[in-house]
Amino acid sequence: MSEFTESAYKFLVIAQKDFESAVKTKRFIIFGVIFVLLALVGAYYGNADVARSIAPISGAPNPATQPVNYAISVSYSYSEIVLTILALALSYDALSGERSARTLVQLVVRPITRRTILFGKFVAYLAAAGGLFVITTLVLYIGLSITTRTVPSSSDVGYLILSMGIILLYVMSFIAIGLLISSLTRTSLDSLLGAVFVWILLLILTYAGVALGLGAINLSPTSDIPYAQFPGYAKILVWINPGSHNVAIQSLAGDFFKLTSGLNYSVNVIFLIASILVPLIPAYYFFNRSDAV
Amino acid sequence: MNAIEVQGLTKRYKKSVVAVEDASFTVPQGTAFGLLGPIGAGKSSIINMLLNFIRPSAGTIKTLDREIPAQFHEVRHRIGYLPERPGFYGNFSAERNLRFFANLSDVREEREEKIKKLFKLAGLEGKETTLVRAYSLGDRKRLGIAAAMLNEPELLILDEPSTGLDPQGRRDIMALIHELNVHDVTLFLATHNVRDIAEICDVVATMRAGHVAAPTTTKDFVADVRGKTVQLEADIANINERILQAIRSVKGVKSIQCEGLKISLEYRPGINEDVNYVITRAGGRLRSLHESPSLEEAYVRKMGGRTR
Repeated sequence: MSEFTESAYKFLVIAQKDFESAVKTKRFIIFGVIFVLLALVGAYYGNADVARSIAPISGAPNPATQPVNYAISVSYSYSEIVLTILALALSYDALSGERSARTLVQLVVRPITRRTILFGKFVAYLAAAGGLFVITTLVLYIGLSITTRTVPSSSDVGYLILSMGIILLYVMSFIAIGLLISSLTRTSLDSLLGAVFVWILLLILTYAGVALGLGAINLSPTSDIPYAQFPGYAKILVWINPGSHNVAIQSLAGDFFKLTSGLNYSVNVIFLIASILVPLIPAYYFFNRSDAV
Repeated sequence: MNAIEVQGLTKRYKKSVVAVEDASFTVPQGTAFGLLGPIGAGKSSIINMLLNFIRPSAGTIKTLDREIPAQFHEVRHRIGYLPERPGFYGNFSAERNLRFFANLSDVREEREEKIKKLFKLAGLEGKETTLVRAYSLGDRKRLGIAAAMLNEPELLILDEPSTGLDPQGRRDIMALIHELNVHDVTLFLATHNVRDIAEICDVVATMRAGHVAAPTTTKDFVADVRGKTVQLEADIANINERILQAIRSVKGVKSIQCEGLKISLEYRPGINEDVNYVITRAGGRLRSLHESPSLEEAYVRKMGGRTR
């Protein structure tokens, strides 16, 4: 076997083991069930909105012309936060947990690089959280199409696939944050505290950014926040949270011109990709330099 | 050729705590080398540096002719490691754990056969499909040895292999380790248990407060710790003159004190078994036979500690 094939094989071995372990955990089952329930409730209310013929909302699918995509967008808005918690819950002790359980030494003493271990875990958690999301969304989409007797247009199906890609990037960013926390902590408890802290911090930074931005331009909170008018420091506070670049609902609508968090569509996608790499690269650096015991 | 060469090895934690200071020793290939010292002496730190788990503050390590840590990736497939408390994935079966580690250890051909053989070697036949979380510490250690042997290592590093085991479990594990050494695997065994060293190792280096003393043969070490004369205390149900005569015939016996049956004799390995044999052969029903002081007691006394 060539070195590349060897590395790819071991990567898959790690990914398979971690996927199997992840889906058997209580946290996966608990947050997974909550996610599915919220996605169902969201789809139900979205469908009800369509039945009531509500007015179109800027940046969201049109309930009249894209009824299934609209219902899915409401489903996203209900459930995506739980998906980020699930991603973080799976990854926060990926490395520190192995260290505490003394399995990390059993791994690193064998002919396998730490890079393979880290990225194998990354893919495993993506497959677990992302897989649950993709399956749930596809089932809901087919279910809504059947129950409402609507045949979505090919462009609507394309927008759905694009939006799922955006959500997967969003999930990846939280997995990367979890891996970074895990590489910096030594025990599962420290990692849990770190994950809770980071999650709350991201929320606080977003709200602080919005409050400071609105204060700077003397505006009261409205449903359509003018991020573009915010001063630079307020924008940065908002942009730190990967959630501020989540353009999944825009993607479902096929609206690529609306500004989200004051940024256009493609810049948001770039920021979303950056929010994966920014934690992942230091996670690799710290894991590679850390003691295995 | 040396399996391990360590020169001036030092490990400091946070600049002030010195775990290992200027340690130097060599382990020739094929030998069973023991590193003996109390808990906290720095034995595990040496193992952690040998296995590249932590980086040395100073000094050099050569394992199987490769510089550690720089060339560790070139030799790790030739090394096996049994941690003090081997970690496994508790929600997987023992077999699934071994298969996982086999896949990472480049064991592809005849993997299943090898795993089967290792279960047999480790005495875990019939427990292959049991979840590891249901394993006792003794079984985990056995599984740890099986995992360490997956890649047929030339060098096996063992950290406190007998700690936490009951007497039978300890005996089984030590017999298993001894069996490995017979098959030309170089052993590096770190322990605080002097009996482990006496039973397994050819060479021993003592370690205390981060300092490693010059290695010596285990035979010389045991003779030095115990002294030339040992006393055996026997409890025989049906003692009689014939049995006493048989004991007197054992080579090296200096005196026998009949009250409580204390036998003074010159120490040599296997002396207990010899005395046990002649007593049984003379028709004696031996209830107990133990050395006084035991090797552990003699060692602790020599190290300036107390036995109790």
